[in-house]
Amino acid sequence: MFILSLVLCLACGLGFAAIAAWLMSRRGNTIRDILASDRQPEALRIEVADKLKISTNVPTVALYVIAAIVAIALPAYLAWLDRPLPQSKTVLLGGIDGYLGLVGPGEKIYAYPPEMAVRGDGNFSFPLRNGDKQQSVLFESPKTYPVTLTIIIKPDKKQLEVSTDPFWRKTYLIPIQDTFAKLPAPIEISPVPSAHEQQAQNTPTPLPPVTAEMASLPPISGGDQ
Amino acid sequence: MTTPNKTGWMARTAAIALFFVVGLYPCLAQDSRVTGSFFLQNPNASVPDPEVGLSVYLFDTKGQVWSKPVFTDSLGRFSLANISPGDYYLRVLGQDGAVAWEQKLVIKAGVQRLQPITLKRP
Repeated sequence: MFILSLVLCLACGLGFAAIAAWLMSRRGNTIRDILASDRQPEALRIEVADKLKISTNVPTVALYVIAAIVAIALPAYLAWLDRPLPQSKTVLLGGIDGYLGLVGPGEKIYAYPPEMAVRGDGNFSFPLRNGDKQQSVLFESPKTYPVTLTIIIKPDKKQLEVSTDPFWRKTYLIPIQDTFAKLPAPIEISPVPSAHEQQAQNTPTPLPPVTAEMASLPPISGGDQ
Repeated sequence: MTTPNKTGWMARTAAIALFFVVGLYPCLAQDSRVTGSFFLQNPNASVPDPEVGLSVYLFDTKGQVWSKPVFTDSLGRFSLANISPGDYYLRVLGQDGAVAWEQKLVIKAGVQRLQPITLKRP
């Protein structure tokens, strides 16, 4: 659509420029005549078969300005109107289930990326990047299992699809109202049992052998990475 | 009044019911959790560094589908919840998108902890 508008604007601009060039080639209207004259440049006058006579005081030179506006400024304005929506326009509102029971005094559950933050009561308002198809937020604290919240902004930018389930069997489809989308239920985060953590070795773990089955797995789809 | 025969019948029924409830519970419990942690070898220290920001994927061999990614936290840990028991492949991508780890995984009911994995420093 934009290409069609651009072509039309360029055609109209060239048309105006051609009219201006034709008028200025006529005696009394050339640039040399205009510069040599003390008077205002000749006005544009159109006569059709000595019956229809249209005249205006707009100088012929102005046609060049109009041509430039139509050919360059108008497409630029249309491109500006068609620009991508500004970043961080949609805000996801939600909370963490039983937040105060999950963290001790002075502790908190952190969210990553850094522009995401969980408030002291476990509620959050995450600014989302409208340009991204899929975004992830990681909730973490030493006492809880990490949880990855995956968010997909639908192409019409009127709905969000949200899930913490890696296989997306349980998802929420949330309408965006006035740039806000509210999770219908709080995020469930589980505490880590206070069992003894296994200590990692500082020597590389031997890589498991790559079987024929593993080698033949389909690639992870690009949008999910 | 309850006769001894009737009492015995009730006890047997209760025992059978208890056997089924206890015995079948692990099969009925569909949700499983797989947890693990990734580290990066640190030649200048005695312990490895937690590997942050790895993308962890599961491939379901039954459904022939990849999961959405979960990410390792600042302690290098990841957690995959609500996973149906079955055969899977675990694939872990580094922040550069290269495969950092890959293994077959048989997930059973309940919580399954994988041994900590230390990756070789490139």
